[in-house]
Amino acid sequence: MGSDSQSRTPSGAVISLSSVVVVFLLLAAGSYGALIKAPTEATMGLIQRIFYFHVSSAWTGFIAFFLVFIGSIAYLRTRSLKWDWLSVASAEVGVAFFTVVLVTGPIWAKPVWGIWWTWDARLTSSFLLWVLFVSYLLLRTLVDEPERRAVVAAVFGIFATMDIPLVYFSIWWFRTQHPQPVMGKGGSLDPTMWWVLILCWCATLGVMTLLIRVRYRLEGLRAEVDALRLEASRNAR
Amino acid sequence: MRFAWKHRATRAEYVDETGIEEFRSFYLGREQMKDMKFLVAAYVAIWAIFCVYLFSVARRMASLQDDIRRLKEGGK
Repeated sequence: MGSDSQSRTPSGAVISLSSVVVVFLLLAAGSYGALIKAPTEATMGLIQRIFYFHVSSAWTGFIAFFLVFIGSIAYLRTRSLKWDWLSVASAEVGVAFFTVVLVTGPIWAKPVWGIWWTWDARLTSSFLLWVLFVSYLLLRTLVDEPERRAVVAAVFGIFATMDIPLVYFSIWWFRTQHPQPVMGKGGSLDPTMWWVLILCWCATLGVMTLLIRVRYRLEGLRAEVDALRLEASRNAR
Repeated sequence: MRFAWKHRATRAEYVDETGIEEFRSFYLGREQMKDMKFLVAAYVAIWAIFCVYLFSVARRMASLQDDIRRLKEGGK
């Protein structure tokens, strides 16, 4: 990821116009698929259409949190602050996606289950994952020195990602109110629904990539401000 | 037989009790509008979450760019 001096200089444009256009087209196609093209589910009716962005946001959130894991391991191995920037950018974007999951889930649950929330294994472990990464972001604000902050955050980030398998496998390991998987082994998703879900996932992955790049750039600017302040204080002496 | 739609009854219970056709006619008559409100609420929430997040990142970025400009001007 480059030397420490390089890591203090953010470079290049954040995102290109063409990538923004592609992501907006994917979002438009995904929304069209989810709201119009996909067939209406037999028992849940219209409300099931929440599924496409609820599930794809959850998968994308997992990937963002997994990037925190990769960034944390890489930082501890290389001590390059760019990996720490990747971790914090991914954690914040992952929290945004999991906020979507935790908000759309209850909106879907109320008309179908008759309740907004229940403390079953899938819902509780998802909420715990969100709390862990919010704590990760809060923890970072408590340490001023960048290298020390990166080490503490990397260790906590690795610990927090340990909850991902628990969230994912909870519906197999425990009896839950949350439905069983509809894709892969044991799933029976209509082919059109399947394609719409994949399209929505591509759209959310695109959004994640753009947001992480913008957030990464923000960390670069922050490092530049720190470097300029240090230089100014040296000049003042 | 008409199913008594109680507050805590789930759709699966309704279908078990009345059959899918009865459920569909009931659903189209009464539940669809309610579902539409929940669906709209969910999609509005998704857009709102990302708009708030993007706004927060843009604000932080603008503030840092101001700091950089000020520090560079101060250093000259």
